[in-house]
Amino acid sequence: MTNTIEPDELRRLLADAVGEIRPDPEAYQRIRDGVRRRRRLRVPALAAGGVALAGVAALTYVLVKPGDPAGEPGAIIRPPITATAGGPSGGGVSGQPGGPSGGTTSNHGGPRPSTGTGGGGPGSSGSAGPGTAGPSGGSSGPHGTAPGGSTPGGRNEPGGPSGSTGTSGTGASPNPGAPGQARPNAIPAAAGDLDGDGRTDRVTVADGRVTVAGTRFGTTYAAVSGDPSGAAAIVDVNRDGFGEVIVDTGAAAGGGRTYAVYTLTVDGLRLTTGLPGTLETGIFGGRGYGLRCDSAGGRLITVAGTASGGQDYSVTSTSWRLDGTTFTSTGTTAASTVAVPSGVGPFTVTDCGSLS
Amino acid sequence: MTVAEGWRPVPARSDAARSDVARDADAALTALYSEHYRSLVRLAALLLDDTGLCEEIVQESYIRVHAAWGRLEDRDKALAYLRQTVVNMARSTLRRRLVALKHAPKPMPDAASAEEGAYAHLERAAVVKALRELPRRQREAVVLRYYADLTEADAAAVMGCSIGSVKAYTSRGLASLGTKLEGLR
Repeated sequence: MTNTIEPDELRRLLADAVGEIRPDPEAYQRIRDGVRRRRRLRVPALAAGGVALAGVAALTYVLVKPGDPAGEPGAIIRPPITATAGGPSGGGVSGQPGGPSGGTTSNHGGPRPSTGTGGGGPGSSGSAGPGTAGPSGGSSGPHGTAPGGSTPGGRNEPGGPSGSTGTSGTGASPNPGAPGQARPNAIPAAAGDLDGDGRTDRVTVADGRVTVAGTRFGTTYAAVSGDPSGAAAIVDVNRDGFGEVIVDTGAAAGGGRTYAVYTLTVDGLRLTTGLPGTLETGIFGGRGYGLRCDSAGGRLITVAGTASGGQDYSVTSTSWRLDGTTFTSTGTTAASTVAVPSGVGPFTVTDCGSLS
Repeated sequence: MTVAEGWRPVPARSDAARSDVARDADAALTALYSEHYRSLVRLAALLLDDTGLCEEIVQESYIRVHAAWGRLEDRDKALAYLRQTVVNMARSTLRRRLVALKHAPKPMPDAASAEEGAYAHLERAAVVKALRELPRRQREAVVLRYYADLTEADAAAVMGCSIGSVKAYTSRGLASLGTKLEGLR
């Protein structure tokens, strides 16, 4: 037996239950009043909401406003060395030139020290050591933040006594040795300072490679092609606080000298690219070539001249900026006519440290 | 008007159009009030237990539907929107009253008035009392199906549940009401 009530009966009961309910005669007026009240409130409510939203947006902007890290105390400057220079099997920075099997060579194929594997292809490197994991962007150098990187009193200490790798300076760097925290001592770097610690590093060119015995990260090296004379200089070409190595790579075909520029990366010394042809200096065949390092301006200037009669040369200067390992023309060229009565005039190496 | 190629002016609602919408809303409000206000108050009375409160809820529902008139996708369903608003507001009110009742003093026992001695009143009171003892969903299902005469699908839409749920709630509600009202039949 079920007690379920019949639907029709329920309908009747419900209708009867509420049948005597009489709506308020002023209900319609109340609704109209409510509609008018809502209309009046809508505009102020929207305005207040807009003001509140603008306030929240302004507060958010103030709280998360991106600042200029270089302008803040203790800001980290990203140098060309973005990782501890060379780990156990890292790049071409090591305590011993022939040590690491993963030693990075230059962009040229050439003798790879002590590995017996022969020359690598252009741009090849050894096994990817820890150093290669560093952000490539770090090698671009702190062009924009260079002034902030100069930290008086924040001189970095040299690495360990053995010159082992992975010991970045401890000066103002809050976490020495951590990737991306090597900071230059001064901008531009002093002549002869490759690793940015303010001390002169020793550069030698012999046996087909250029070697820099650094006082901060140890020794780094790269293969040199051509017939190097042994002359080399360290100059901060890109004004990032870390030097570049300019190596005399031998005699030019028609006379004069040729040069190559190496820069320090997380993988060690790397041959730069981007310059059209070979860097040359000297006068031969009615043409002259020169080279000038502008550390203050952070650029390399190549000079090319054509004999325009007698001792006069029409000279064109082109500026190059080094970004990472690549030179790009800044588009700044200057043309002039100079007289070269004797000697080489502008067609030589100028302001490039000991090469000048 | 010259318009640049590839660009079209954003259609903005003109003041005239805005006035048209307002006029429509006002007319619809009047029509809905005339035809459905009383039944909606009675619906609310079955869902709640205070006719004064029922009227407030229904009036507020009218005001809300009027304010949203320009955004209604299908104005033929204005009554459905209105009914759903009433049910939703009744639910909210019940929740608030539940909280208030926890802190309220014990009510005085109901005293029968001299005017309410008729059998009809007894029956009405009994069915209403029985209805209020049902769980909220069962009460909504029963009222929407057997007072508002909605189909199962419409009741499901108003309650925000499936048709099967409406069937189950209705069935249980009827059984429960039958038991509670057995003595009156």
